[in-house]
Amino acid sequence: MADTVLSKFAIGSLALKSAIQMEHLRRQERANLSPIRLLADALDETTLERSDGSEAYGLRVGFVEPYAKVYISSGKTASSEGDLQTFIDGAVGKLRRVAEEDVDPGHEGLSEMVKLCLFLHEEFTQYPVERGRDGRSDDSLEAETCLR
Amino acid sequence: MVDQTTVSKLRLAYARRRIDAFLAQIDQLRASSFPHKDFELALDGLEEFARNEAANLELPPNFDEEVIDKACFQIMEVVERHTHFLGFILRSTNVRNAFELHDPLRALIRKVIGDQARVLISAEWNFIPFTYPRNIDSLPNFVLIGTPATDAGNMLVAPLAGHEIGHSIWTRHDFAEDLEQRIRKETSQVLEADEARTRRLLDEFGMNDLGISIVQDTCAKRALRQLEEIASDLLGLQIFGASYLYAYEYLLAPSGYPQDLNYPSERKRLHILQEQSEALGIEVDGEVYERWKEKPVDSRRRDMFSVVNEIVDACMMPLRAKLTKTTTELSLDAPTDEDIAPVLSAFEKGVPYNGKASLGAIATAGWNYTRKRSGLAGDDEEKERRLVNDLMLKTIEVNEYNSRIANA
Repeated sequence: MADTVLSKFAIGSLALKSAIQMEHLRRQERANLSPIRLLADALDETTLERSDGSEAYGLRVGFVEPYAKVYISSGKTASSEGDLQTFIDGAVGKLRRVAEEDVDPGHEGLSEMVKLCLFLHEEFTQYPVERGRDGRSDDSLEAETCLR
Repeated sequence: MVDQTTVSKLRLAYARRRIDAFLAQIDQLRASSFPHKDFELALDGLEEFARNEAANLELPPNFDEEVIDKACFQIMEVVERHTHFLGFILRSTNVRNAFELHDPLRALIRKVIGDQARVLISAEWNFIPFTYPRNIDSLPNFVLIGTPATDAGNMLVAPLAGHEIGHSIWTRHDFAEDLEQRIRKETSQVLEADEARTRRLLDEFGMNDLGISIVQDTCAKRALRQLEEIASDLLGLQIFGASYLYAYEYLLAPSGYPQDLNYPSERKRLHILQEQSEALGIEVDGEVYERWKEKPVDSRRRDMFSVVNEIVDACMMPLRAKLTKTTTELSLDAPTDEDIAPVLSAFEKGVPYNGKASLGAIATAGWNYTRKRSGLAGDDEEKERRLVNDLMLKTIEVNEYNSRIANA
């Protein structure tokens, strides 16, 4: 059975929960790290395996544009899909480190990760503005589907 | 100067009230009389989901403002996305629904997606059958099937549930994951084959490597959607036989809607269904395939439509292979003439069929009866319309009774 990618809404929800928990960490309050681990796993599922350990092989269908928007929101300029995959792989690694309590609460990277999670939440959770004539949204993984 | 902590406190309070109101509606719905346990389980699932989301609001008002705003926004999304599920559940209790269909449809769905499957059927105020087949985060094991309220209780539209079940099979049996690499490869080849067209598409997205990736991804995403629709049609045909096509014609012919990138054109869908019917030896009246209309594609979107169309064509062979493998594994067999004939014969005598019959055989017999009589639309034919519908429903009940006795 192939790996199943979570719905975009589910990824957005995990991103919000992760942002909340990392903000608790930043404030040196008690935090639940499991949403952060789950988010790392979910983001990892959206990238395809690297073909030879170094070459970027791409992202799952439907994730290039949303990740490009998140990347740009982070103040960076992407020029290829490989940039986006590297960006997501990097985020997965950082999230895993946080989930393993390997990051100091005062670490400035933590605040960046909170921002990244909020961008992910915005990109994946916001109700699509454009809807088809059948009311079907463009939110691919949990869209209503109908006969036409 | 406005105190932002006060703003946060109020926003969190309002979000809390919104989600509490949603939860209160769930409580009120529990007082309804439900025809099946699946409906109560759906409410349990929604409640658990909503409470989990509500936990995001347990924040002190001096927390990061941006995080608080997003948490409040999330609650709006949750309520907006799920309120119509509550309406669906409420309407599912209405007596206009064909409750007789629930058990056989659930048995069919369990066969194809597993014993954990739950089914909700409701008459909807939309003239389209629809479902939420992909894993809804709040109700991951549920298949929701809606029929237009105007045709609620009309057994002749029941075969269209086959299309919705097809979406569930697509998800549960990893069709997208298995086809994804091939789609990516075909997308690259299709875009490389016509440089001028690709350049025009790139003008929309930017000319750098990322622009190409976005064009590829957008085309691949649409192609994947269209392949899902085609697979769902073919699975509907496999489950319900010719009755799937007759119900499709009843609800959609002659069409004429603008084309949509998420769907193959009507003519293409019908052509693929015709090919598959012939390949499976399903006998279908030829009139079904005639005079389907479609509006020409808007000139601004012509390039995207043609690219997606070509990718879909290139992926039909692996799609068919995946369908054959899946339907064989699931032992999904279209009803044969031998299955249909005794049911039709009973209907002709004005009695329900008391032998074993699949939903597909019952629906096809009902359609054959109706089509032989030119659609039974006359004012003086209302009694006969009701009779054939009752015969179909009673045959389903008899089958259900026999099956329970056999398993007792």
